[in-house]
Amino acid sequence: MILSCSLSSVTFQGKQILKPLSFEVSEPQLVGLLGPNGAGKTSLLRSLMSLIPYEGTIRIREEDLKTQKAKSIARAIAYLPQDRKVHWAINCYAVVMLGRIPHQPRFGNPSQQDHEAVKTAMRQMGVADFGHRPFESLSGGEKARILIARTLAQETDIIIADEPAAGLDPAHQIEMMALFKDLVTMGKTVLVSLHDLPLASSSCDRILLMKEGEIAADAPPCEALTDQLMKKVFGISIRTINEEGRQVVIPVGSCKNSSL
Amino acid sequence: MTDPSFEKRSLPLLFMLCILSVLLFILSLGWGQVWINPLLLFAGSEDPAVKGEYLILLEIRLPRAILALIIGAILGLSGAVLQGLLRNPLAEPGLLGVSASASLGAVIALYTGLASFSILALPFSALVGAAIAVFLLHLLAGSRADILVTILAGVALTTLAGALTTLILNLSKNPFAVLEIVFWMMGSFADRSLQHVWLSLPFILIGGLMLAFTGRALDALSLGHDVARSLGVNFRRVQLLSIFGTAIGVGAATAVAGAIGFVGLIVPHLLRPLVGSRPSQLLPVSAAGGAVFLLMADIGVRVILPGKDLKLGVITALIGTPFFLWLLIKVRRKEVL
Repeated sequence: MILSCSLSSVTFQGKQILKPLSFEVSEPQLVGLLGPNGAGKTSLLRSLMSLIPYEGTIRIREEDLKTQKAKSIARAIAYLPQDRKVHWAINCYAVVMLGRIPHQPRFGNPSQQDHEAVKTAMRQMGVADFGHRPFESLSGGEKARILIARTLAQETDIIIADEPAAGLDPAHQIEMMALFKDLVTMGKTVLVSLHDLPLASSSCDRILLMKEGEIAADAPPCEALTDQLMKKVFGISIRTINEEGRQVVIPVGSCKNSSL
Repeated sequence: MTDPSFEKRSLPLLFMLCILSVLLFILSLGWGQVWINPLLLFAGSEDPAVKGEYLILLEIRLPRAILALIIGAILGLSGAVLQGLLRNPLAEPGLLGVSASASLGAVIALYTGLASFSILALPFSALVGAAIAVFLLHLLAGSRADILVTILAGVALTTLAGALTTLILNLSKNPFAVLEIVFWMMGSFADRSLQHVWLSLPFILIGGLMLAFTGRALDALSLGHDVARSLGVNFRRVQLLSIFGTAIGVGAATAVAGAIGFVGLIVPHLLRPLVGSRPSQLLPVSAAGGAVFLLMADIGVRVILPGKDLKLGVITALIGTPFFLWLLIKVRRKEVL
């Protein structure tokens, strides 16, 4: 088992934001986390990284996260945030090297192993020649590649990405999802929260659909992104088209006023 | 692919700055109203022909040079750490209200006469002032240390400490005490003894050690608060080390030398591009650079107006203010960060 999550509750400022929910990931997958704003997607992702307190049990490779130190959790889960900001004018190599922090002692220069991991990650993301370039000089898509390389250098089994496609143009969004698929073929499990239904339905192996702090559906895209569930969860009507053997879901209108 | 890491570049820089600080230290020992061979320090006081010069070296110039070295180092280091913690190039201990509050603590000790009871009273009072400042800062800015709020809180603390200091000056009946307070606040290494060194050194070392532990975490913070935590960084611990390390180190520095501004701002700034902007690489070079800067400023004080007891704070502020304004303009043009 790569990941098993069984939460009984997550509260924030006295308000319950996650209700009892559970799911498991037993093989490397691209898992899309979908749901309206405020459904609890980010809270679930933050719980999985132990960034917020939770009631319940989260296990990675059968190890309970609550019994582990932050550094060993960081060797199991990497995090790719929505914003692609790096403070200070650091070059790309140094940005990717930041992913090695959980593997490094408090003092001292990076080891040969660290340098190898960084170079491998940059090569795998197609940014091997970007080392000397200042991160700020890159385009949005290039920045995304460097930051994914950073999570890759962390050498974790699981990568959590919180709305990483936000602010990218469609070409780069598709490219990013393709990179995530590549990560799955490398043996990683990628949990990605998305708002884009076509992107999720065309790329993800599995969808966790969230509504009001609960999992409304946990299934492959063709079963989770149905007319009925989309009406229930998002209040929208959809159209489905077949594209290269996959069902791509396109939102076509709001049905908030209809009797659901 | 060639290795674009900066470790290789920052080590020679650190080495150069260390050599430079040693040379300036020796120059600081020799330079004064009369030139004295610094090697006399090793000659001892046996020879009556050089006894006077030996005593000047030991009692006056050595403490002065040591204080410039260690205080410059702690100011440079704490500036680099605070800039990394707050992810803001304008942060420095002085702007956070720590120095002003430490000064207020020292001024209270001078005003109440507490300072005359024990040589420990003044630095201890300054330390308490610095500690209160960081607690208030922490309280006002919150656990996530929002950059804008932290700086605004620091400005408020500086203003408050400044106003209270002025109030004490107003209330002071003794004109000599007023003069003593005013001169003390401008910062100086003149007339400091080895006792001042022994008083401040442990605090500066403890503060410096605490700050030195933050390097890796500050690197992680370049990716933001949440990513740093996901990389295994205990943010609260880093915050406590940074803030208390600064308070202890800068509080002790202010306690023996008065408020010396802008070192913590200028030094990390000048050195940042040379180490690839990585906070962890910036810490040691900023400490060495701070020492170089203050040793130079202290020699400058003696060169520009010899015998006039020009205050060190005046020199650093005269260099620092135009630099600060230039930096603001650069930030506005988004040329930095």
